[in-house]
Amino acid sequence: MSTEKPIERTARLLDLIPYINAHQGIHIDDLAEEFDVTADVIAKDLDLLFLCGLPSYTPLELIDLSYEGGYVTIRDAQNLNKPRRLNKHEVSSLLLGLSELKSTLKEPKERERIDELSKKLRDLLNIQSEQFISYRSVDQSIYAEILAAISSEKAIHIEYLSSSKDQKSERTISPIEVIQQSNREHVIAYCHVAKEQRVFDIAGIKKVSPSNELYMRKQRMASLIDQADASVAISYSGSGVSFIEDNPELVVAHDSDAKTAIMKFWNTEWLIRSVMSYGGAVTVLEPKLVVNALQDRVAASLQRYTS
Amino acid sequence: MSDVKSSRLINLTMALLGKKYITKSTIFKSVEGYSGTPEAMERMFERDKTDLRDLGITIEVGGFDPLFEDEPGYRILNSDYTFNLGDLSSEEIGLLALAADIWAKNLQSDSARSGLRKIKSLTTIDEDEFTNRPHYSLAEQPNTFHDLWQAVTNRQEVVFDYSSARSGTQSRRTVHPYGIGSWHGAWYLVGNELESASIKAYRMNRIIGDVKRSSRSDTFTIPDGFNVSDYLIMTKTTGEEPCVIRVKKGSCLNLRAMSRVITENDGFDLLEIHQVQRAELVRTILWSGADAEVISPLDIRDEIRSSLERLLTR
Repeated sequence: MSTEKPIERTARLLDLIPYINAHQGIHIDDLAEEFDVTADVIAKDLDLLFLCGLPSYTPLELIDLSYEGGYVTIRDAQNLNKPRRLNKHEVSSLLLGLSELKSTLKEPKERERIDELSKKLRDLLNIQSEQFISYRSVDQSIYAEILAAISSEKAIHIEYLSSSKDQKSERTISPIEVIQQSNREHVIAYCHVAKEQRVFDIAGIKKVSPSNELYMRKQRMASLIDQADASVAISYSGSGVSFIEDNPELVVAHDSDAKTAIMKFWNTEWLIRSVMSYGGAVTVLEPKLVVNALQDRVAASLQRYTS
Repeated sequence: MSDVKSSRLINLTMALLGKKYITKSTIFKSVEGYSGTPEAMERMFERDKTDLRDLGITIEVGGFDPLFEDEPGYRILNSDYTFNLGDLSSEEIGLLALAADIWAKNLQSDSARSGLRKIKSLTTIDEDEFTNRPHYSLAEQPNTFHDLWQAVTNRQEVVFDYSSARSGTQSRRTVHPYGIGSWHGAWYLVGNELESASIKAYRMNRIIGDVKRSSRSDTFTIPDGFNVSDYLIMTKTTGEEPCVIRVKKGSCLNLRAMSRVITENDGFDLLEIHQVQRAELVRTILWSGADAEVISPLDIRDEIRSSLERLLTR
C-alpha cells in the first residue's frame, strides 16, 4: 500500500462516503471487496475520514461515522453524501455494456428500458451521437437456462431449428459445455434422441423447458469439425471473405491473394445453404457433385422470380 | 504523507462545496491542513487544485468579494461535483449492474465497476432484487479492441494497417474513431478516415499489427446525430413496409420464427415480417432457397433475384 499515491487514496475516500451512506451498516469486508483493497486499508481510510469535515472542525462539522464490530454506518456525511460525477471512461464502459446487454434481450419492454438508460447516460456528458451497437441472435434467457442446466447438471427439453436443415425438432438434451464456433455460440450436449453427443447452435434453440429425464454425462467428444472428412474448394469476392473469417476452424488452406480456399465440411446441406446465403460472393469450385447440387438449387429458386 | 495530503484534499473539497465562494486567504486560515509560509501554502494550493481537477472536480473562480476587491473566490458547484440520473428503479440499476459486469468480467475494466459503484451510491436500493439475474459472457475481443475503445472514449486519432476485404490490399489508415459495433460477436470500428475523407466501417480482426493512438485527446468532434448503425449495413433494419414472403407449407422455419403475421393459404403460407435486420433477412431468404419467394417490398425481391443470378454460374 505504501506505493499508493495520495490522489488515488483521495479518490477512494471521496467514493467511500456516499457508498457507505447508501449502504448503511455494510460490513468492512464487503467494502474491502467492493473497493478491491484489504479490510485493513478500509479501516485506515475510515480513521482518516473521521477527522475530516468543514471549518471549524467542531464535532458538529466533522464527518460522523462509526464502525462497531466491523459494521460501518455514517450518521452525517456533511456535504459529501453524493458520488463524484461519472467520468467519460465510466460512461463509455456502461454504454458499451448496455448495448451488448440489449443485444441479448428479446423482450421489447426491456430493450426500451435499456435505450432510456443509455440516453440518460449520454445526457450526462452531453453526447449527441450513438456510438455503440451490438447485435447477436442468442436470446439471453435461453442462454442463461442452458448455462444453469450445465452447472446444475439437469437435462432440458428443447425446441430446435437446425442450422443445416429446414427442420424443427423437439428433443431432450444434457448440455455439457458452451463453445464459440463460427462466430456463434454453440452448446455441446448429449442428445437423448440421437443417443450421442451433438453440437447445437444456441440461436436455433427457440424454447427450453425442464425435463424429468436423467442427466447424461458422456465424455467430451472430439470436436465435430474433426469428424468432417469432406472438403470443398471455393473462391470468394467482396463480403464473401467473412465466410472464411466466420469459419476459421474449417479452413484447410487459404490464399488471400487469389481469394481461394479449401474448407472442410461435414454436411452438404449446410454447405449449400451457407453458400447460397452469401448471394454469389462465395463460389464453389470443386467437387463437381456439390457444384451441381448447388446449381440445381439456385436454378429452382430463381424460377420463382422469372416464371 | 498520504494521510496528510489526502485529508487536506478532502477538507478542501468540503470547504469548496459550500454555497458561497471562498477566498484563498480564508482557505489558508480555516481549512485544516494548510500551514507554513504564505509561499508554501500558495504552492500547496496550486498543486491541490490540479489534483482535484485530475479527480474530475471542477473548481469555479469568481464571486469577487466587494470588501477584498482583488481577491478571487473559489467554489465547487454541487451540480458539477455529482450527477443525476433521475429516479432509478432497482430493476434499472440491475440492468446497469449487468452491463457493468459484462465489461468488468471480460475486459478487467475498472471504469465499468467504478461507474456502477457511483450509481449504487446515489440512493439506497434493494440489491436482492437484481442479484439473481443471469450473467452473460461476451465473445472474445480482438487484440486491438482495448486501444480502439480507449481511442473512441478519449477521441484520439488512430493509425493502423488494414487489409480490405473488397480489394484484398493492405494500406495504412488514419482514422478519427467515432463508434464501435459488434455483430454476432465480430467487432467493428466506425470512424472518419482522413485519407478518403469519409466515414467507414472496419472489421477489427482485419487490422494488422498494433493500433497507434495519438498522445493528445479530444482531437476531433463527432457530428451531432451520428449513429454508428448507419455505417454498419448489417445492423440496418428493414423499413416501415413489412416484408411479405410466400413460403411452402411446413418449410422456412427460420423465416416463420421472424414473422409476426402468418396467413395460411392452399399450398403455401404468406409471412409478414416487420422491422428486422435487413442483411440477416436477406441471408435467411437465400438460405431457404426455392421454398421462399419475396412478394414485397420490391427492393428486397430484386436483391434476392440478382443474388440468385450471381449464384448461377452455368
